[in-house]
Amino acid sequence: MQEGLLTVVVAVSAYFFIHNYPSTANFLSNGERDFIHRRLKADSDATDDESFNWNNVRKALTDIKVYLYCFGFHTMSLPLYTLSLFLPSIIRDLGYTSAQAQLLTIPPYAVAFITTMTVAVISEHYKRRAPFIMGTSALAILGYILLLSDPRPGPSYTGTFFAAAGIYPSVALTLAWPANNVSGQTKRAVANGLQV
Amino acid sequence: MSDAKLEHVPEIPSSDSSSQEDLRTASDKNLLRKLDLKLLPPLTLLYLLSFLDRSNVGNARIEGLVADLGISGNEYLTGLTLFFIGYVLFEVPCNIILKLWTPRMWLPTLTLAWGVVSTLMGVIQNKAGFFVVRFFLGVSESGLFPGIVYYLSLWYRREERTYRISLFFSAAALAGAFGGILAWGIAHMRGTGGYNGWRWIFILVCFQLHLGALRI
Repeated sequence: MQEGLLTVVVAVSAYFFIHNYPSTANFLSNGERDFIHRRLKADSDATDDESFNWNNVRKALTDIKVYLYCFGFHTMSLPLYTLSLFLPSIIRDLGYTSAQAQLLTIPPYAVAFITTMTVAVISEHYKRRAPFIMGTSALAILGYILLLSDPRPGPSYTGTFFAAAGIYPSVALTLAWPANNVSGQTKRAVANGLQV
Repeated sequence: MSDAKLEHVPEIPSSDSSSQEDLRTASDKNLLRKLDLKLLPPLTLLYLLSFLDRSNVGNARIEGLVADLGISGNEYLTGLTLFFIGYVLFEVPCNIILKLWTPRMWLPTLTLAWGVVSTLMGVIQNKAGFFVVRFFLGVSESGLFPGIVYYLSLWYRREERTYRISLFFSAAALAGAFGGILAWGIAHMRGTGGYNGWRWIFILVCFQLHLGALRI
């Protein structure tokens, strides 16, 4: 409940710190605004005045790759949410009190935060996604196998580390994938909508 | 960065050209850094809060939520599913509103809406309340992620966007850690200080955030 109140207060302050568009942002000079527009224009289709038409929607709906993105995302968001919604319960069931369990959820998430940042930076450096998604998914799978197969607290808790450290970067990269690869505004919008 | 410096920027090549990396100028990198510092922290903060508010039910579950409301394991799962139903149904409508209204108005309004909904989560008395609140939490949180992805497309080029999306998603993992700390604190204080002290700590934390936000 208190966390909800925190959100309310941040929301009110967010009215002041979210900038609208490059053309109205007060932290940019005119030269910089112009520069951003030119960069975006040079970037294939982002600033094209693409009018909405059903043909583009159909293109997204009939592209097998769009479905593969969806499939990839859904198969990954399921383990992500089961982990984020049940991690406290999983750890408590290993034989800890509720308060201890809450505290013990922190280290796996801290590791997941570090791996997500690291994998994002490295995959950006090499401009590759697939090998990294495979690697981090493998790590996550290892974690879930540990959780499934060994009920002892030690191996299970180790499993939560692998699972969290693997699944968060996997989802982060998978989510960002179609935004990069699907061309055409409407097709991309439909693809993103379908995926999420 | 001065305007004069920018006048010397060469024509920007198309994103497909292989010589693009070579032509990327220092001012280009500086501008990107400036955008990153201005845009990403607030977006990451909002995403962190959205993940905190959707996953803290997992923390609440072992603090007696299930027992107090008398909901079974399956009913708990139904509540979780209702969140995703609300989420899926309202994603597209939310992005249409974002386009009609402006990001500056819409993203904080969404945040305010789910903040209120998840505060109401603290006062529910029964199963029906749990279902209704979870559904509306899904509705109010649905617009944030697609909204941010669209918003980033107004500022960044395609290949730059991927990286930023991956980065701000790491806030989801951070939210899990924060949720654990907050829940531990509340559980730990229950016997000694009660809730009131914690309410005040949150108010103070919020106040600082607010001041920090105004400085930006």
